[in-house]
Amino acid sequence: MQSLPRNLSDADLLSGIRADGPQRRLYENRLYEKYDYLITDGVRKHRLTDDDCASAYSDAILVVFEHITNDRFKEQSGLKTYLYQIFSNKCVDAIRKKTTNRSSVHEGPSLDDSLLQLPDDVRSVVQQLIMQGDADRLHQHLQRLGDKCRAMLLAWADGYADDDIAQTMNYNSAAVAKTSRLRCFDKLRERYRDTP
Amino acid sequence: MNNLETIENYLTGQLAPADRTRFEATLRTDPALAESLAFYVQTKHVVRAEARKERKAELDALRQTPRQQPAPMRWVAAASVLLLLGLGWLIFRLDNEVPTTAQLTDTYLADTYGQLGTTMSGGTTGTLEQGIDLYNRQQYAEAEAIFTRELNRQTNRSRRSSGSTLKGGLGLASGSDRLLKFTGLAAFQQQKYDVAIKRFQQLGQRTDLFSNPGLFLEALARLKRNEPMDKEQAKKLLGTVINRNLEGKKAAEQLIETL
Repeated sequence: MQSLPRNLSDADLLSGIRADGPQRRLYENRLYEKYDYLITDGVRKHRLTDDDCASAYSDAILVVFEHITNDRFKEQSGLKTYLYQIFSNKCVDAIRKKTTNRSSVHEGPSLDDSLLQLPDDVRSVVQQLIMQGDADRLHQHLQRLGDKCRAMLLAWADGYADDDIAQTMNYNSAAVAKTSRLRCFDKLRERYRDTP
Repeated sequence: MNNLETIENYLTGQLAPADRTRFEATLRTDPALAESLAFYVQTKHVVRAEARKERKAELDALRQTPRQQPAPMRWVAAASVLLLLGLGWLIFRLDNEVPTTAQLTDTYLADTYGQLGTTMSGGTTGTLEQGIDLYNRQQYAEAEAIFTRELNRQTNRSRRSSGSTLKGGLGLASGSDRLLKFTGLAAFQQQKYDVAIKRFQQLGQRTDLFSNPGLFLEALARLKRNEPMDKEQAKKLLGTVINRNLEGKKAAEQLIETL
């Protein structure tokens, strides 16, 4: 993987993140570093600890990554302005969490988003099934799934296309990567179903 | 596995409309398919949360990593400081130090001989005026050609009329001192220093002139040509100009201090 030039413009960062591919992560890291001075501003402005503010900044950056890749960020404002707005909200979340013990109101996409396209009658059935599921146990099985399967599923969940996964993990093609990924999915399902 | 692939294709909008309708119909009647879909969605949510947690840890680690100023930037910074110091020194020198020999030479030449006077005593010819005009318009080559032709013409006429050398033993007529000077200056302006020196030497050897800039101009031409021994000879010439109180004495005094 080749290194990136030191000073990248916002336009370079945006196109690098949108381009997907194995280098996407490098561009994301650069975006994180470019504006991480906001953490210091946040500490001063919101009177949060350095760690709390850094955590809020990371959360904000992750949201921005997501909004860039799914085109929710329309560039109607500058990238820094956009990030700053989300970061401020995350800081407010952190303050709220400390003072009222309430969790964030600015979570990522909710579980229900995937279900919106289902017909109403089917959706309620599927939602009930999900509620009956055990997320903690699923998480434990994921941790024990094996490094390669786990890494592949994490990359997929992180928004990487099968083509990128094939390149990064040395599969011959996107189709082969997809077959392997679905096999990992199936393996996880078997373990989850068979082991209480 | 095909089951999961179809679910994924459905959720990502990759099923054809007919397949989509068929899939939704099957969902209503097949509890196993509904369960698989629920598992897919829940797993994606769990895996995404895990991916996010790991990515966040990576980003936090970025912050912990001390970021070194890249080497090229350090060099740029160092170069900038040196450049500023150099510029400061240059400005200081320009403001406070005496001009260099080359600067003085150029200044004197531009001030004194940048433009030639068109009003001439001693019978100015139309040809000479034309040469002066060309010189003043910085068409030095054309001006030199006219001055040289006129100089040769006057010299030949003078030789024919007297049959011997006149005016300092060079065979030059009265008034040709200006032509020698102009021809030399036109050559000087074209950086043809050898020609200029020859003309100024001829001028300097004239003994019949009330004011003779020949030696001084030769010194300037030698300083500009800057061949071996030129500087030494220019220094001697400037010394002579000063000692004999010749034309250019004041400038010679300034110049000699820089040598």
